[in-house]
Amino acid sequence: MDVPAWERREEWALAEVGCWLDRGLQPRPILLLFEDDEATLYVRGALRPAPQLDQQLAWSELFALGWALTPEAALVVTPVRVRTDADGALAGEAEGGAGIGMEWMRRRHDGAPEHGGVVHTYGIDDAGDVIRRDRVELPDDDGPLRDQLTAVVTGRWPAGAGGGAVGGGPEADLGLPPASLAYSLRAFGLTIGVADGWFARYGFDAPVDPRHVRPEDRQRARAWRSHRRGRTEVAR
Amino acid sequence: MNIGDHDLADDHGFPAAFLALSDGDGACRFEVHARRDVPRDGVDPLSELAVLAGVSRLPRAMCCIPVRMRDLADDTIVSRSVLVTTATRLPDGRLDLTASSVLLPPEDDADLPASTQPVDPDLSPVGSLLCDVLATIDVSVRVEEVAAVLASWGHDVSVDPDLPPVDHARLDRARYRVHRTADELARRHRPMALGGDHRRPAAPANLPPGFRPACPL
Repeated sequence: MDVPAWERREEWALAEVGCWLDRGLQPRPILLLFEDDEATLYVRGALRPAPQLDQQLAWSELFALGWALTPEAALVVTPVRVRTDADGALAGEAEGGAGIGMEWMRRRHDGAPEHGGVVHTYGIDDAGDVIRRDRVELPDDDGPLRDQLTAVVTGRWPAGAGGGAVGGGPEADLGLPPASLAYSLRAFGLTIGVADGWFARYGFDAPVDPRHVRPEDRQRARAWRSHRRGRTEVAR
Repeated sequence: MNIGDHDLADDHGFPAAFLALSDGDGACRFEVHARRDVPRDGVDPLSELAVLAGVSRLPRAMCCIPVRMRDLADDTIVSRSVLVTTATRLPDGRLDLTASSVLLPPEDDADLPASTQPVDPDLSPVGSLLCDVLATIDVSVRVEEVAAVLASWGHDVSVDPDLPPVDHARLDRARYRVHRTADELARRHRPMALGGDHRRPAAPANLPPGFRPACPL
């Protein structure tokens, strides 16, 4: 119903981040997956008091469901710090210190995927209100998350990605069903939402295997499975 | 809701945890001042309060937790604040979760206004707990029985005067069920654990319109 369309992605992301800024909170990275011009999955990253310790892990967690589901298009919204020194890419045009970075990629039937991004800079005045300052587009086919987004959209890592590791970046397919993967990510602090029509199509209505859940949640996983046993028994 | 209603008459001059449940119009239906913060049979008071929130089926729960900041050197209380967490079930089924920290003025300046600061809801120890009990409704006990059980465990419960009287023959069963539910909630959410605990799950709240939580647990 109110799920954002692909054409409205930029204003939707600004409004979504604006909700957090208006509450006086630091926004968190968001991954949004699209199929058929409609958003289907929403992943909000975990709150990490010390992100420098496990930044690589945090990005892998954010993209894990995207790698498992391989949607048609993906959008990442992150808070960014805009460089204003002389050799920064956004120097001169952007005056604010804080910004909202967006980067997206969409699969095409012919040729390389469509890729782009913008950075919106903003500031906060004395009354606590958000002032939007500037909008700068990323240079074509360049962006810090290009490799990860390519893996989401095409299912393959681009050549040379992942710092020269064999096979590219981290393993894209974890071998878990989406429901178990969503459960694990939630236990790590990520918030995951599915658009109403895509709950069953992505396989989130399958029960979580009790072997994949924390011991304290196992009883509830087992109860949910047996309650719907007629529909949810998995064949092995 | 008004923090000033919450009196400071605990034995340390500091409030105990406080839970208020209200319906969609904002009228408060239940108010519980929790018992002292000692675990009873391994269950902390916050998880016991949460059972009432789940059974009452009311769309809005607010939990106030006292926060003391102590000086590590001489163990004096440096500042006192209240962490207020509010979970609301929206009409379309989504959950809205907010948290804010209210810094209480020192006792000799009691007429200073309390200053409120927003907090990320994921930092609140009861955020996932409130979302869980609002989303999953336990129908096996009646709400007046839960209130009576909590009162017998030392919580200070104020209830709706329209509630039916308690059937005392069912109270033993209710006591068992409330304890079992609170025990499960305590193990799944660990509301009394420290702030950096990684075993507390994220709260599936504050999703944008049109999305619903992916994980049923």
